Amino acid sequence: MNSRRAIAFIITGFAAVGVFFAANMQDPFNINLTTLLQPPVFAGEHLLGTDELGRDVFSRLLLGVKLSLFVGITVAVVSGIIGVVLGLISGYFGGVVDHVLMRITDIFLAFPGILLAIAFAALTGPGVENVIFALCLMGWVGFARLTRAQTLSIRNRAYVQAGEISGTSTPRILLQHILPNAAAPLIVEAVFAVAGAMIAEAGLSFLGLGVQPPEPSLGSMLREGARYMLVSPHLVLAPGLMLMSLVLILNIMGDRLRDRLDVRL
Amino acid sequence: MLGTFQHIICRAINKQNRRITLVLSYVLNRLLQFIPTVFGVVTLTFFFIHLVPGDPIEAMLGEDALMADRVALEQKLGLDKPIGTQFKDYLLRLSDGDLGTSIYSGEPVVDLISARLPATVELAVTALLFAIILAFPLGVWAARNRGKLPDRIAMTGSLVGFSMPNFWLGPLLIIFFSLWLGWLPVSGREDGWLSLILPAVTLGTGMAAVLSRLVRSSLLEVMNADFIRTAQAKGVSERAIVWKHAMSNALLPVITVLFLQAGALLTGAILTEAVFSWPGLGTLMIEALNQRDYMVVQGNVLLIASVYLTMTLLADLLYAWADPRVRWAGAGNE
Repeated sequence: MNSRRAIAFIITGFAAVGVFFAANMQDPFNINLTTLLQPPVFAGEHLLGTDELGRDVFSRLLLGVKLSLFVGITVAVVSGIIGVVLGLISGYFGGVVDHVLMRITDIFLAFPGILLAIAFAALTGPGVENVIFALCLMGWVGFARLTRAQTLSIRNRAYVQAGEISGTSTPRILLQHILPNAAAPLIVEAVFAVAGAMIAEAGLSFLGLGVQPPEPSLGSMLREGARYMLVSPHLVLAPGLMLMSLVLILNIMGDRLRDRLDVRL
Repeated sequence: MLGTFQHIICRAINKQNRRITLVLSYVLNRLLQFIPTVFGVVTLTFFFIHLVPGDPIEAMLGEDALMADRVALEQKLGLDKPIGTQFKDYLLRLSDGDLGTSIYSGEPVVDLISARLPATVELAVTALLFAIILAFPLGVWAARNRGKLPDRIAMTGSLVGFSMPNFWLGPLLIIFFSLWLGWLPVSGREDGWLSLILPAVTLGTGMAAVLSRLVRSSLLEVMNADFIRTAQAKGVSERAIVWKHAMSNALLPVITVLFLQAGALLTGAILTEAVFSWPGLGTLMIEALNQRDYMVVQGNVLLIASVYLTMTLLADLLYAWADPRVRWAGAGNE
């Protein structure tokens, strides 16, 4: 109970800070060479100081969070839909379709972590769309595996058979009878997927494969900030702390949800 | 298909040796699955270069390259041939252990990789050791104090470690230990084991987080078993129960995950090496990405995926060897 309250508090806190400062937010793209690399000043003009081009770090941070959440949620939703559909088909129909699909997932699973996304983003060139595409390319596999396993355990239940016998159409059986009963672990997986995609996006941007300047991303801010670590450590501390907090919140949410829905992943 | 194969083998060997047969057929099954996957990975990496939008030659040489240079490169890479021939050539070259030559430096990709491999292996092994040394005591401590303060501390710590991207942890450690305290070098590999500490800690932390949770949960699972209660009833000390009786049984899933993570470490090494300018495979990959040297990228991806696949295979076989339930189940289905 306590930690849930703490999570709610943290999220609300973040939102409040965002709203409060967004009201008199600085222009995140405004270059001012007379004020470069200023340290954070509370209640000053630049709350989190300025970067190497004199741009306001706080407003860039907010834009970075927006982008990070956008990429995370989009990747989780898109790869979730693709994975769930393929997993349902694979688990329900079995046979050759299942065999082929599972061998394909094996191939994708042979690339550990974000390796495939790194290679793919490098080939297609930088940009938000390409990052999202690259992350979906590897994201669907986990959903497909999980949905298939769930479908396998559900497809022989009495209510599914009853539906089949009474002539319910296959899409309806899949979407109305099987999917709702397979949903709990998928929801948990989706929460972790958002966190994973956010870290991956930041990682790609850190390598210079993601969002291109002047557009800020938490990863590219870390990349640029790392060059001024000695004089302005806040350029590294701020975006990293923000990214970690967001990911931590999502991971705690996923953990709680898993306990609450009583699923084993 | 696999079922028939199993059947033939089962019949070929005497019924008295059925146990050995089952193990053998599990291993063969697993190996048979391994081959198409490897082939799939090889095929996918082959198509990498063809996924480049537009003209890969232009992407590599730039827009204002001379026509003669373009034609030369196209011929060198064999991109002027039909795609089937290209794929055949690629497979033939691979079977000779030839990963092509770097467009940028003209050196064979195999040489470039083998020059950088030792640094990455050194980093990955040290990170692995760090993770093991940190995770086991932490996991045991948490399990023995389940639900109490130590458990909470350890599990919150592991959640934080798990959520900490290594491209942030790295700079943090540099700021603290190198810039403020001045104890350790900022980057590079020149200062011997001193320069290894920060990258290894950075790379190993995420893994330690995963491992400690796993040690905790699999210990807790074993601690409920009957033989533990028997040992407790006999008056065996708590310490001996945890480390001797329970640990040997809880170790199996942990070791399996260790194998799986060992492959994943190579990918984590890409980002960690970027932070510390560690002269390993990761920095080679990033240099190649920036120079659009696709042959080097391709070779690197293929190598990492192969290592990872092999580790997964070893993990499965190890599991089957150690846990009879797996091989019986494996032989039973299909």
